[in-house]
Amino acid sequence: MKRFLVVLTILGMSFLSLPVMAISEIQENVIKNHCETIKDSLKAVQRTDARARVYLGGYYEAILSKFIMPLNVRLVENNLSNADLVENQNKFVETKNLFANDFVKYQQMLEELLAMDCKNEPEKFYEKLVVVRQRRKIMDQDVLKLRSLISEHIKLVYGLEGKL
Amino acid sequence: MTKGGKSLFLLGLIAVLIAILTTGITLAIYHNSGDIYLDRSRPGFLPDEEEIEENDKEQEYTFSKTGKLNVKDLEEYLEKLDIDVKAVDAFEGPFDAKALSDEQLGIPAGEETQKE
Repeated sequence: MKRFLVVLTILGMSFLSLPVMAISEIQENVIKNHCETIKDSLKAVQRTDARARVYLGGYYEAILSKFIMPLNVRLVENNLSNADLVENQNKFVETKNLFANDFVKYQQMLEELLAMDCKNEPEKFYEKLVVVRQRRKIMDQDVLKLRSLISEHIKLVYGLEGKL
Repeated sequence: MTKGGKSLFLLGLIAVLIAILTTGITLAIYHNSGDIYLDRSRPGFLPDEEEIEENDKEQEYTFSKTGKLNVKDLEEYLEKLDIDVKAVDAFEGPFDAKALSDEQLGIPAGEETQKE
């Protein structure tokens, strides 16, 4: 029980010291007065994001199904199976799925933000915007991770050339 | 209303209710699965002409899963892979922070503070 209370106190303290974006009066007024303009900008971002998601998703799928997977199958057939390439493939599949799931979560948050009343509740609107930014950051990390896995794959394939 | 007329009306009503219910379920699945966010046939999300032309250029190449592997195959593999990698790289920072920044949205910059 004592241990539980200590953990609870630590969690509570860390929650209270979380960095938050305090909205200033100027910001509040700008959000109130330019509510529709801000929402139009957010809708434009939503359109651009949908385009990026569809195209990038297609390219990632093509890279996986037309290149990475067939190469690993062929390597096994040629008794040249490479553990690093297989591990890289697994990571790529996992991150590609994360990319798809994180995009849905991000878009749901963005949709909730667009549905908010920024004229009457600018503070809540801004708080939600901060959350949406965090979700977008996760998307950015997914994209960077996938690109780094592609680079790693290419590096490993170059390494194979010497073994043939 | 005759008995036959009543039955026909009831049948029509049930058919309409079933249609509304199934459409509702379908739309809920469409939304909750996230497919809605990938659907670019929605108003305001339609691809422009340039995009359609770009899409037509998609390569047909698939690396063969069978056959003896040699250096020439790997060179071709890397060459073809590079086309898709360049297509990925054409999206510079697709989800970077800039698009949702205060500056981009026309909001004066805020200050990060510690909540006490």
